[in-house]
Amino acid sequence: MNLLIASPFLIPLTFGVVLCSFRNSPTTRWAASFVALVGLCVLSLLLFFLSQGPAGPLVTQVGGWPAPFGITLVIDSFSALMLAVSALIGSSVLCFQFGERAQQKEHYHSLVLFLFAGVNGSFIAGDLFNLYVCFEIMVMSSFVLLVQNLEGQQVTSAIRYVTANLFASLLFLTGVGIIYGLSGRLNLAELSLFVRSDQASMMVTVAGMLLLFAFAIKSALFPVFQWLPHSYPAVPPALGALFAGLLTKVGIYGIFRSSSLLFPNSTGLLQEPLLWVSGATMLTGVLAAASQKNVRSILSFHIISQVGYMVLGIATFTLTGFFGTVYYLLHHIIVKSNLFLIAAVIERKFGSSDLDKLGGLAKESPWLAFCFLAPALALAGMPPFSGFIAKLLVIKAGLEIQAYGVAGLALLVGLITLYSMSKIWNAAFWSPKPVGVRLELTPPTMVIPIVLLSLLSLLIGLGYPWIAPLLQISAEDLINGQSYIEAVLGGRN
Amino acid sequence: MELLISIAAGVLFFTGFYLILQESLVRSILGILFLSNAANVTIFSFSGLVPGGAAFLGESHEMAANLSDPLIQALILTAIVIGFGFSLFFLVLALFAHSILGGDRISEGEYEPPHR
Repeated sequence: MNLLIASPFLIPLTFGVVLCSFRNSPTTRWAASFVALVGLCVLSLLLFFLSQGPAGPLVTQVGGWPAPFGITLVIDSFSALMLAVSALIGSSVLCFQFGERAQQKEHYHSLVLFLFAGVNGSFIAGDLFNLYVCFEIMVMSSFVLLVQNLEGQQVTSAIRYVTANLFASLLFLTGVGIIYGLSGRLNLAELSLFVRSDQASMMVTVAGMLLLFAFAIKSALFPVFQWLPHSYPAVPPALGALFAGLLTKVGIYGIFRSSSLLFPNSTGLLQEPLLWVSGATMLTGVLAAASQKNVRSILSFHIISQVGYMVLGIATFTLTGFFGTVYYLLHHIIVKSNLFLIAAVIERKFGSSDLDKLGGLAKESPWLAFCFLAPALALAGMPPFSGFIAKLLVIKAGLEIQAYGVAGLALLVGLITLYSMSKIWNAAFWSPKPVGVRLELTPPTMVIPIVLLSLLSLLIGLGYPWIAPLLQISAEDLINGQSYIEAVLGGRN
Repeated sequence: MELLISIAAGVLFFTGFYLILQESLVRSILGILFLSNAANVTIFSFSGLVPGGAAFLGESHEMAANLSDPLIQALILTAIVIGFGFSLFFLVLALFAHSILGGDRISEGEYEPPHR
């Protein structure tokens, strides 16, 4: 077994377990987690460039059992990209949390590392059941992180979050079981071959819909997104950045992977419903966001609306659409986590996130104002930021398949997103400071990640000509599926 | 046999869905437990359902005729253990909620972002 390929899962798991016994030395814990996450970032970038080489996706079999009988771990360039971005967000949030280190609860570092073990494991899982187990690891860690930081009445939010996620996991499990029962295979590559062959029946695709529904709950898509706005505002602000940037995106990753491998021939079946779902998600998310009066509620509803854009890209089943969604994922994770970190700073300064209690930040902290503008305009889709290119790609894909209604809706939603972002800007930055409020200075460990992420989102937008070829391979592999199958089953252990 | 198992799974799913939607927290948790069992029974129904069929072959492959799918049983075991984990967590959360809310009901109320 090639340890390098298994390491994105093993490193956070090992560090998390070991750090459990370091309860009395916070320095060790902070240092070790930082090393783990930054190391993961570097490692994932290395894996990204390796997976783009002539050998294609990196594959290893756990325990040496040949595919498809063993557990396969696959890192193709899309997985490696997701690994890299999530590690980057993890390091930024950890750096940010260092500023509030007095308030960390027990075992915080181990839990965050276990969360990453689950997230990374989901990204590299090569078979459905491993995907299920890693989802569970991720979801359980998020439960404990959420519950540790509750205050009083917020426990109802936690209960809603737990119920919705457990429900989704159980549906996922049922779907996996039925797919195995009908096809005799769990390995994603093998399933992909099976689905493309003549023996496959419609029933496997129907069972796949159960999977898709479970992923839809996890990514907060249209009819099943209510758990997100109920629970995310109850998460402590900096941790919210981690949740917002990672958890729903693993659901999108699931949808992407299954669309690419399990539903390649189901375009006729899936395209219309997915287009409707994406349109409804975009619209309801942003309309709800525009009516909120609390910074973090606005941002939470925005997650829903942006997820709709990503599903639009997937729903088109074209190369442009898949490429658009890959770029959108990259752009959105960075921008969303950055916005949540900024919301954390705002809340730290004013003691509350309600829009009518904020004000005067443009004068007091101009750096924060600039750092807010970058991701806010990116989210709304203004050039030259990354959001503009992301939305352009996704809408172009929509126009390619002549889904004019959804494309137009996407443009309108962009406008309303701009409006809701400007609500936050006006309330927090542009309006005069409320009387009698003294603002604390922000420690540098909180400033650095925000500045870095804002610069990064600017760079991704301006540096698109250099980034595009790197992502092109991911998109081609996803739309094609053949290189994945060949890498896993072609005897390359 | 398959008909019986399918009906059992259906009843479990039905009960689970009904219970999850209840106001009382304990019933909600029971609903999750029922759904977890329903999922396990559904998966089990794909394992061949041979009466007396063991999941291994024996030394001279004497049990090959009555083989039950061992992978299904492995999947169910893992799922049961994961179910232990989250049931335990949910029950402790319910205890915590009970001490705070002073009761069993998850009240709907107006949606209000919590003030920190």
